[in-house]
Amino acid sequence: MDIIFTAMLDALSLTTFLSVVLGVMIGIVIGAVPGLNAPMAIAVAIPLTFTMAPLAAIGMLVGVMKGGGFGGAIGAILLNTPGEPHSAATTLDGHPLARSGKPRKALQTALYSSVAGDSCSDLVLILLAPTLAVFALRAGPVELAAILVISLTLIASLSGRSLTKGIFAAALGAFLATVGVDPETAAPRFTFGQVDLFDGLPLAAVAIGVLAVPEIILRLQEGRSYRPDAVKAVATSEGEDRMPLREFLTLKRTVLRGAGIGTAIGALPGLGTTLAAFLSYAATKRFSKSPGKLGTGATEGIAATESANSAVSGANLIPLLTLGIPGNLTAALLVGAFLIHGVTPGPLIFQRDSSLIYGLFAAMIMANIMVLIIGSLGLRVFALIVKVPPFVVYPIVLLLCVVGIYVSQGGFFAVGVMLVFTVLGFFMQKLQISLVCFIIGLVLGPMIELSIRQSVILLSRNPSAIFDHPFALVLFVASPFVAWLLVRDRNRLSDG
Amino acid sequence: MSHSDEGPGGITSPGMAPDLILGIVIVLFSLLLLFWIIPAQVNDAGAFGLPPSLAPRVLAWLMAGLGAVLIAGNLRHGGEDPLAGKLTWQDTGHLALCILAVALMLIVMRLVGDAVGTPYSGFWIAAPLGLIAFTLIHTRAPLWAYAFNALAAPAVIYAGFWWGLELPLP
Repeated sequence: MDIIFTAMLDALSLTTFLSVVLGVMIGIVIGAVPGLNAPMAIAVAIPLTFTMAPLAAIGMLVGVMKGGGFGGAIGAILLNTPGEPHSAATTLDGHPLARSGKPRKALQTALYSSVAGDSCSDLVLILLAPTLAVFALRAGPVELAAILVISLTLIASLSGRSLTKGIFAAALGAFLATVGVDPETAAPRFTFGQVDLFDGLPLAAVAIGVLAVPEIILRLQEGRSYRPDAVKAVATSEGEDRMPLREFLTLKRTVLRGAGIGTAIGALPGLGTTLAAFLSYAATKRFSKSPGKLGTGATEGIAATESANSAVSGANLIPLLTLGIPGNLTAALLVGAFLIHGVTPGPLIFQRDSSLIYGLFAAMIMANIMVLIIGSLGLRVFALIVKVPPFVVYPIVLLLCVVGIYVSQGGFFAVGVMLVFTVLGFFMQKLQISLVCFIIGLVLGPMIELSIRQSVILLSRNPSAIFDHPFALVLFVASPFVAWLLVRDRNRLSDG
Repeated sequence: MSHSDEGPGGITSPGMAPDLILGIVIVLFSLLLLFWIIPAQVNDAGAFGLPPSLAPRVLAWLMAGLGAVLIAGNLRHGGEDPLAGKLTWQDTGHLALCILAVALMLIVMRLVGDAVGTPYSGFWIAAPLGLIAFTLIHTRAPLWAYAFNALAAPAVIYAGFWWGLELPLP
């Protein structure tokens, strides 16, 4: 109890508070820029956290994650251009409502639903994670290896359009994770004589290189077809344009349903926010008293999608904190941030870094409150961000990526690594090879290698000894069947 | 073999689908890893448990197998290629231009930084030039955007990183 109280006090310190506020603002601003999204915002923000204390750093990134979730809705509602696939569901009702002269009402509905959905899933995380971690601690290396294999199978099956390319991306990520000094024998692997590679590839440089820079390069290419006159943000209010609390409370069933769907989906690796948003939208249409109104600017539709996709973010931390498995790209980037600050996610985190984890829980609640306050106060300002021309935004973000990596990694070597991975990320995007699988493979690679090595030693190199671990055996056997079932239904389930 | 519907500028030769080429590249890359890079870069001597090269080898074989599956799938399923027209020579040229602009900016930053020796001297010369180049690559930017990007953006980054975070740049 003392630990929880101390952690809460740490989270309420001025440094952590300001970090969370800064994170929320960065998240909303970057999320609102058309073409940029929450994972990119986190990738760009990671270098800024290098000099911070772990709690302030993770708190800031959590703020970016939550702010980015709401920021994405701004572009979707005002410009009808979703920054992420899941925001496409928000455009269905958000944009028609904004076009009908109620942009503020649409944005407020998205904001309140997003915060409510996120808070519900955070509550589930806070209540469930410590208990689940106790069970997870009972799992040995063999069981952990099996859980990692089935999780990676789930992610590879559901991300992108091709299972083969998904597994290839994960394998390539895991392969590149072997760069550096081998943890068991201390033998250097693929270092090519470079001392800078002894600690492995710099994760922030790889993440920014693969995720952010190729996206900016693609956006710069769109400049040739850019027509300033075609960008017309809907910002003119007509009549009473706001969402009163009383009216929002009439949407409580929709918001709670969305939060439930988002939390359930977020807790399973690989399913993602898009599925949550569209499932919640479909469920709302099914149970709505006036389903015909959905798609024409109904607040119910906005509440359904925003509560569900925001609820995924909190629940995604359940497998991350209890097993060390990132369920999606955002969680994978957070793992990177944890590792950079010397914290290894997994069940032991509740024993080794309990103060940090309870501080993180407090920071998450604080971030939700900040999204609500900053989002409400700055709604007009954030609505203007969507009008900032791309020829101003993208060159500056590109320079920020370069400078951020230079200062955080302390040299040109990391920037060079970033450029190499920019080329890789660009071709991966063009050839539709899942970046999610690649990053998760890169993050999980060392963990899988270690648990498999430990398993082989535990099983005394005797494959039949696996029968002494029935849980692991079931998971290993189930993996190909799960992949087959999911691939069969992938077109319906995939994040696209 | 599947047919590519790429228009002019497609990066693949007629009749060669990008997925097929991708499969071939993956297989060749995996073989390169297995028979040259892994033996040259990983030393298994002195390993007491599993050799350090085991995981890279297993992953390289897995990638080779997946590349072969891509090739086989592409040869078996004829018809339209989903990646047709997704990757063109123009795309590759644009990527090369952007990488070149960033690399030149870094070289200038380093050279000026080393020559002057004061923090941010290289940054103040190279960053505005880099930003002008990036804005030029975007095209269709008005003159004020070049001025804004070249002056205001480096000033904000300088203030944030040097005064705010106290992090040096060359």
